Amino acid sequence: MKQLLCTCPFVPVEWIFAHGFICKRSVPFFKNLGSVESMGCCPLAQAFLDEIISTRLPAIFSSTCDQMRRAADVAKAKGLNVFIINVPTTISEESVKYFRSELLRLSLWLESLGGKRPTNKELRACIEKFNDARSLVLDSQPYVSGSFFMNSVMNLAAETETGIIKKKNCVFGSDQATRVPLAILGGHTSQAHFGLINEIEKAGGRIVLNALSFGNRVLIPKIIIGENEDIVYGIAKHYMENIRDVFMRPNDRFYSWLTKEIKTKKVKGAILATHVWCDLWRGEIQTMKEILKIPLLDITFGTESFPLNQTINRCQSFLEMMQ
Amino acid sequence: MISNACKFDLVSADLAFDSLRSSQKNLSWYIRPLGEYLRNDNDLILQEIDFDNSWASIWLWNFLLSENERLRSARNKGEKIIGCMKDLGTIPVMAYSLENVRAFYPDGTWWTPCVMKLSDGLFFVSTTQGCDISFCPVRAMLGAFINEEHFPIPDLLICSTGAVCDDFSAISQRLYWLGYDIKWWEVPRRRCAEFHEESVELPSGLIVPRIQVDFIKSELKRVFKILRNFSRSADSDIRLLSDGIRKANQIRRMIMHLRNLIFSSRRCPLPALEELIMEMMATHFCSDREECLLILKALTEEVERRISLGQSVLSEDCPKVYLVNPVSDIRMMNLIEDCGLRVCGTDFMFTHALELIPEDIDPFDALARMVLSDPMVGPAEDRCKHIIREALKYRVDAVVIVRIPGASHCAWECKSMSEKLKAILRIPVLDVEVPTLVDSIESTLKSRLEAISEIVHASKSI
Repeated sequence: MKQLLCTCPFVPVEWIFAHGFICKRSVPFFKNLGSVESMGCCPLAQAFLDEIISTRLPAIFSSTCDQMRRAADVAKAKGLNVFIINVPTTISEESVKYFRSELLRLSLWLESLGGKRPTNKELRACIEKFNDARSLVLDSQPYVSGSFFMNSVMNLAAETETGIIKKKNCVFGSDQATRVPLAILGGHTSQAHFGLINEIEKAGGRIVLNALSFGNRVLIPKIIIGENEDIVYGIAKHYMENIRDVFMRPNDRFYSWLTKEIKTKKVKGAILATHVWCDLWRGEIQTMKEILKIPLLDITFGTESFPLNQTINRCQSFLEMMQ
Repeated sequence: MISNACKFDLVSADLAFDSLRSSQKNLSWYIRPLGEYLRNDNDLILQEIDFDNSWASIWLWNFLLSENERLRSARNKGEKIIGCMKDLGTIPVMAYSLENVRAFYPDGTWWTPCVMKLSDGLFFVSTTQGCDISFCPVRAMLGAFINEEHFPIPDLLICSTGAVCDDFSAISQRLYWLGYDIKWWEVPRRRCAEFHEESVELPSGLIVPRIQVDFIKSELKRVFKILRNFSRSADSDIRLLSDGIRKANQIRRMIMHLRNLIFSSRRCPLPALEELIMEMMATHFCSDREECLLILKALTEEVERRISLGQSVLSEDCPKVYLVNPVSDIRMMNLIEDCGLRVCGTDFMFTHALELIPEDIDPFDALARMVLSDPMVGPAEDRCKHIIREALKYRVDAVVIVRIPGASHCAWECKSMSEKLKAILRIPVLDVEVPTLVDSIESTLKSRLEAISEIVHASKSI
C-alpha cells in the first residue's frame, strides 16, 4: 500500500484505502515551524505543511477550516503534491451531491498517483473492513489508555490488519471505578494532546469521551449501503450526516451528540484543549459552558509539543476539584 | 461655494458646512455638520482625521455615519431589515431587487471600535462571549448584536459559510446559539476547473468548474425564496433579479469609473479615505441604493471638475502605492498620505463587488459567478494576479499590505502575497499589521511608510 498524508477525519478513509492508499495521520511535533513563520498561523497547519515538505508524501487537505485551507494554498504554491477537498459545512441534498463529486475528483487524483479506482465489490469490502475496525476500536476503549485509543483511531487501517483486541493494554481495567471520568474536546490532534491525556491519567482521571479529531466523535456509525444504491453517494451522505464537529453550520449536531455521550458515559468534567488561533473551537467556549452543564477547563496550547507545567497543574487542580 | 481641493479637519469642516450647503438643493434629511456625530454618537475618531473639503465628500460621510439611523427610520416606515453577513456584495443585490426590503452588513461594525475609539465597549462584550483578542476586529459585531446599541437587529440574517474566515464563522455560530435565526448558505472554496470538467469563465477571467457555479446557484435560489417571504413583490424571480442586477451594475459602473479617474489621473483628485468609503458602497449601497447613486454622481462631478482644473489634494510627485486589505484604523488612510504617498489601487477584500454582473445570462447563474469571484474564497495566488494587473495598470511604485489583527487569512496569505508581489512587480512591498487604534504604533508606522516614500524617490532619481 502507498502512503499519503491526511489530517481530516471527514475524508472517507475507506475511499482512500480502496484506491490502494493508507492515510498516514499527521500528529506532528512542533520542531521548526519554518514554512510560514507568521503570527496568527495555526501551529498545526504549519506543522502539517512542514511534514509534507519533509516527507514529500502526497497530502490531502480539507476545507473544514480557514487555516488548513490557507495552508493548502501555500502548499500548492510551493509546488507540493496536494489535493484540497471541499467538505461542505451545511447539510442538504445539494451539498451531499457536491461532496460526492469531490470524492470522484479525489479518485482521479489518487489514480494519478498510481492508485486504482475500486470496483463496487472492492469498495463494499473496504466499507465492511472499516466498519469492523471502528467497532473494534470503540469496543476496546474501556480497556486501553487514552493515548492508545487515540492511536488506534488514527490507524484504523492497521487495526483491521492486526486486530486491536490482541493489542489490548489493560492497565485501566482494574481501577476504573475510582478514576474521574472526563471528556477531552478540541480540533486537530497534536502531540500535546497525547501528553495531556497521559498527565490526566497520571493524576487519576480517565478520558471516557474523546472528542478530538482522532477520538470518539469521528468513529462514525456503520456505513450501510443498499444493493442498488450509488455507493459513492452513500459514503458521502453517511459521512456528511455523521460529522460531529464545530465547523458545521449550524453545529447543533455536534452538541446533540456530545450531550448525549456525556450523559451516557457519566462524564464529570470536560477539558477543552485547543491550539492558539483556532477560532472555530475557541469561539465555542461560551456555548460549551452553557450547553454542557459540567465543569469545563479551557486550555490553549501554543507551539509546545508537550503540555507545559502550568497546564499540567491546572489539570491536576481540575481533577482534585472533582475527586 | 467651489474651492480648491484640499483636506480639512473637523472644526474647519463644520465651519464650512453652511457655506458648502448653501449651493445645494433638496438636501437629504440626515445631512448635518459632521461634528454632530461626534457629539451625539461619540464618534471620537472624527476629531483626529482630515476630510476632503468638497460638499460631495461631506455628503458621503453623512451617508456613512447615519446608516444605523437610516435603517431605524426605514424600519419605522414598515420596511424589513435584512442582515447580510460575510459574502460582501451578492445577497444585497438580491435583497434590493425586492420591495419593502433593506439590506445591510452587520459586519461593518468592525470599524465601530475604531470610530468610537473603543468607547463603545464592543470588544469587551465579545470577549465575555469567548471571542477575545485572538479574533479579528469583526468580533465587534457580536457585541453589537448583544448590546443592541448600534444597528437595528435585523428581521432576517443570511450568512455565507464554507470558504469563509474562521473568525467570522465562529462568531456567526455564537450568534446562532444566542438565539438568532441565521440562514446559512454555502460557498465552496474556489478552484480551477480540471481538464475533464465543464467550465465557466468568471467576469474576473478565472475559469471555474460548472459544478461549483451550479451548486452556488442552487444555494442562491434557496436564499431568494426566503427573501421573497419578506417582501410583497409579485413579479417573477427572473424579472425582479434581472432588474436588481441592472441597478446594481449602474452603481458598480459608477464606482469603477470613479476609481479609474482617481487612480489614473496625474494629480490626486480625492483623498484615499473618501475613496475607501466610496468603494465600500458597492457591497450594499450603504443601505440605500437610490441615495447611493446620487452621492456617486456628486462625487464624480467633483472629481471630474478637479481633474479638469488640475486640482489635487496631494503634492504632485507622491509615489503611488497599491493598498491591500481594509485598514482596521481609518486614520491609516490619512497617515499614508501624510507620509507622502498616494493610494492608486486598492483591494479591500471585496473586488468582486466592483465587477459588473453579467446581464445576458440567467440571473442566478450570474450571481453565482460573482460569488465565486470573491477574492477571499479562492487561493491567495488568484488575488495576487488581480493585484498585479491593477498595479501595472495604475503604475504603482510600491504595495502596502495591511494585516488585520487576528484574521486567519492574513496570517497565511500576506506573507506569500508579499513575496510574490516583490518578485513579479519588483517594487517595494510593505507588509504591516494595523491595529484597531494605531496610536501606540503610529511612529513606527510612519517610519515604515516614509521609508517606502524615500526608497521610491531615491530609485527614481537614479
